[in-house]
Amino acid sequence: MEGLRDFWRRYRRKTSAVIGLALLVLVLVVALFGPLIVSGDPWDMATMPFLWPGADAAYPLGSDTLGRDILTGIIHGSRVSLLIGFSATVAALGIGVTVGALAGYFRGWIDDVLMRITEIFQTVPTFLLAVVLVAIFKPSMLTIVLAISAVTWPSIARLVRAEFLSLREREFVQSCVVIGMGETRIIFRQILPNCLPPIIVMSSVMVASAILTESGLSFLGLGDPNLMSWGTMIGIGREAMRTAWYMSAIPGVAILITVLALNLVGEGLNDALNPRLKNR
Amino acid sequence: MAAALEVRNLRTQFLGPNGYITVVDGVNLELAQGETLAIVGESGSGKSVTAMSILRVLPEPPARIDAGQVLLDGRDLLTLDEDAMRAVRGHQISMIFQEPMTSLNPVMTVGDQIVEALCEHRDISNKEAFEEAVALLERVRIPDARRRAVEYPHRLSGGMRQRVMIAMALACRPQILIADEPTTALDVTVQAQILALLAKLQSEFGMGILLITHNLGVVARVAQRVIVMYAGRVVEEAPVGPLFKDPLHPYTEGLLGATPRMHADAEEGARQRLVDIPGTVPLPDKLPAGCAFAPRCPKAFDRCVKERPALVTNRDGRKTACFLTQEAS
Repeated sequence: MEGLRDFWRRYRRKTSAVIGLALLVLVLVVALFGPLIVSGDPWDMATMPFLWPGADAAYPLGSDTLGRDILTGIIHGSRVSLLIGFSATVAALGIGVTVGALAGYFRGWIDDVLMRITEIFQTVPTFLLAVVLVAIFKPSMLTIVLAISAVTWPSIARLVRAEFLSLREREFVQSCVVIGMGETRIIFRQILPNCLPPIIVMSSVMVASAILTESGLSFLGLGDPNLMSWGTMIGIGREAMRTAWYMSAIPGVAILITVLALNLVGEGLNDALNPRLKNR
Repeated sequence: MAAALEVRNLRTQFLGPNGYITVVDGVNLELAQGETLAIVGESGSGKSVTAMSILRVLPEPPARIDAGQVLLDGRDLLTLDEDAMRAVRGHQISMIFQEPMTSLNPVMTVGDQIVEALCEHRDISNKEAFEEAVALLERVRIPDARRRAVEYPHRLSGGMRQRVMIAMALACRPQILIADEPTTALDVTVQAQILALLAKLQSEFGMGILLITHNLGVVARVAQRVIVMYAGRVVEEAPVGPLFKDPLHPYTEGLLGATPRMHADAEEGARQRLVDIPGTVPLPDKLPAGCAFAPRCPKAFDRCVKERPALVTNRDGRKTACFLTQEAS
């Protein structure tokens, strides 16, 4: 409890971090409660097409090429984007932490094998690999999440491995070994909590990049066809880019705000959790 | 008294660039319940490697235990598989280290760390384990143990942390405690407290202590028997009194000569210079053919350079590896 208060004191020292957190909370609130307030299906053709923002008070953000309400789309899209961003990150963390921890703790041939596999994934351009994976398996929420996590776990694995390589040499690990503690317990209960700070910082940025990847996929028409995500909306607006740029710009701003918020939070967490900066 | 722990002819090697290098060579020792045996020697004499070989916690490779036996109640630990060995560690033989500052997990409360140690070997609930952890902290004389148990290591002083380490090591009542330089990192008054605590706990728990140190003051205070190691071999073994009164091996003599002593008169103390042993410990891969200490020994003669003296028991039951003492007896 006391540690939490201490953490908050360090976090709020940076104004940009607080702004980032405020923006993130705003996006989260919209994603959680927005769809309850704004009724209606984002796919419904609610009004006349090409309605500019502000032209009709009932549709403050206007409508797209088929007359679908953009505000409803943005609000529903926030759910999709955040859900995909967070679940892809969680999945990537699961794979990356396990691989990195095993490689860093056991070293030797286990490390060699796991790191070669990691490197194979890293040599392929991530977005291209995600496109290929989604194209092979039918685009759906699940396959998109899996594809994004499949291309992002290697960086987590390398980070965790590096932490483990240094932490496993520390004396407290040695003292766990001499009192007969099992390897699983040492890895997950003793060492892993020590490398949480960099993992937390990295995952906030990973959520942002997962949202961007999902938007990119949807823009290319590889999104889940049943879900209205921000990327899908930009993709729809692309056809009318010259005459009605707002159709792409509004979801673009939504992505910008979310990704910016996550990056600011990540930076703030880095400063607050970095032990070298702890005592100023 | 039957030995609880017996090491026979232990040889530990490390893989170097040109094959295996012997770091511990033919070490024998016996430790009974309730007894304290000290291993002394300079840095690099193989004290810690001997201890880690007993617990088999050296990384293999590069290390390997090439020969010997480590008998605990007659069971050879060197033949056990890793799972069986893990059950021995902490449960029957436990160990504490030199650095109490880094030997505790910085992100876990001290109480939880003891709970972890307890849960590893015993099937008890978390709540029971926590109560036991508090009781253990009380036994190592940590004041206000219940409050201390929920604190993180950085809140405790060096002496306190070493007490926590001892509590962790003793959590499962081991028969043998290996203490590797347990007081080196602590200041003198705290050293004395920790040594007194270890002695007290030894009489309460009845465990045997294998004390590894280069501090002869510590040895004189707590040990009953002493093994002097040099370049991976035992050069002298004796009860603590006779060893200090009459060191047989020139190396032991040198070690004692290099120990500062109190003098009644400050003037006289200033005149008395400490005697140092010239040279340094030879590297394990560049050991001379004869006695390893011969190049630094003031009493060395021809035979010392050509032939290696074996560890031989004298008439009075003491053991030395030196031609001089062996010829005299």
